[in-house]
Amino acid sequence: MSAEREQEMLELTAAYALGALSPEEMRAFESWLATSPAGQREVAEYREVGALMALDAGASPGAAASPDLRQRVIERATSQKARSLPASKVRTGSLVWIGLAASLVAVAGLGLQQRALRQQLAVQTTSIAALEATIATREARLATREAELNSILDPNVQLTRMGTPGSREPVVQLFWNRRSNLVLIHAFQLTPAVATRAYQLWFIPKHGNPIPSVTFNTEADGHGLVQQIKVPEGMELTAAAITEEPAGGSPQPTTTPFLVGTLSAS
Amino acid sequence: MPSLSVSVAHPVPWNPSLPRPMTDTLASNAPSRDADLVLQVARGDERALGLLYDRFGPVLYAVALRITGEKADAEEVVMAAFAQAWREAPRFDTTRGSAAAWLTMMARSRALDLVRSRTRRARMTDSATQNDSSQAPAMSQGPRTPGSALEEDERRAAIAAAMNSLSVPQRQALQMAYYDGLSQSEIAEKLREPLGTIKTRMRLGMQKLRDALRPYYFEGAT
Repeated sequence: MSAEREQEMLELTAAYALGALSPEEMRAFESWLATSPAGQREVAEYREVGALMALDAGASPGAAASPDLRQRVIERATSQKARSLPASKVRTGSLVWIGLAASLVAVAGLGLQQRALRQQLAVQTTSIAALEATIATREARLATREAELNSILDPNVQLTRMGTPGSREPVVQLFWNRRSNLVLIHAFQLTPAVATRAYQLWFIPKHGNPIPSVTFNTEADGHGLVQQIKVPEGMELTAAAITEEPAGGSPQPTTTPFLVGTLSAS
Repeated sequence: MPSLSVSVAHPVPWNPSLPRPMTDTLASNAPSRDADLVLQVARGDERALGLLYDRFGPVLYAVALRITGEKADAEEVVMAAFAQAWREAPRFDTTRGSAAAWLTMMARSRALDLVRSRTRRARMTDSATQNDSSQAPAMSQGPRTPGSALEEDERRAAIAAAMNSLSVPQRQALQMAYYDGLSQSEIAEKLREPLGTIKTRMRLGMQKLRDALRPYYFEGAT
């Protein structure tokens, strides 16, 4: 990355920490952030500034929270398993009441019969259920994305690139967290393997045969992501490689690796 | 990034890293570190959750109230944020920032989601541009030790001074992003200013706050 581009990204750190980037800017920024320790430090520091800005929100005297809020907080948090509350409880709960209130007002105003009220409530309930499902899906995606980002932002992570970034050829980025000894791989521009085949990751030790790891496949757009891959311990690894194998994987490579990346010793 | 179906051809046993040992306990009279409280919460300690609420609940409520503008919504946001903290405490990582930053991000994010879902953005923008903090709550809830109260008062004074040291346009842009969840492009559009001007304004404003507030970061901040 050019120095100019690096500076351009660094100048976005404050806005990123505030969540003020456009979706396009955010994608580009997060891609850069994953490989920039300096950027990660800046973002962490601006998030601390954000936490302090919260104090400014309460700088003036005014309405206080209900005295029983503390108890309700504890009850809500600790009863989650028993009640199986969805993550979107706040919004969905409010939406339910908004929906019901809107239905009741509409029905009363128009003087509809009880049957009409039931029908309208049914419509609202259906609509709310659809909204709840959408929210839950998006929150699940968000949680997944956050976990992915966290796993590559760790300062102990070492990046190995397999392939030629910037070309149209397949590329796999391997993020190795030295502390947890776990790997995350991100593939792109990699055509999905056919149904009976899969891609397989290999760790190449200094001495001995390649060590088989996970098998995976990519989406139709050529992207793929695999997390929490355990790195073999007790040996010096010199490289990682990707081959195409029968679905389910092989104990030893049956094809020539088409992507190889060097793993540094530390 | 899309998720994938993954199978492990030759699984290798692995040992997830265990939480680090506590440096103090809640049984002691000394105030626990924020990060230690989060660790206790990760182990299912309700009392630790209560202590975290005592420390940060009023701040989260203040932010949520400023963003949502309604007491009931703000309380819902606080409950949801702490519920999320309860679930995600095992994944809290002190190397990525303080507990305060972690909790604030969760509460702010939920409050903004709530507002967005109700399409009340226009009203909230007006409130931010007017810099109206009349609805903000008192920050003196929860038990505070004399030492922590002094520290908190000093910190609050520092942030107020730092915010006041910003130019009005800088403060306005930061508040529209922070409390209304607007992107730089949206702020530029609402203020009818060039996007580049808004970007510069926000960057310089945040740099100024960072330089002024570095000594006042919450414990555990890197």
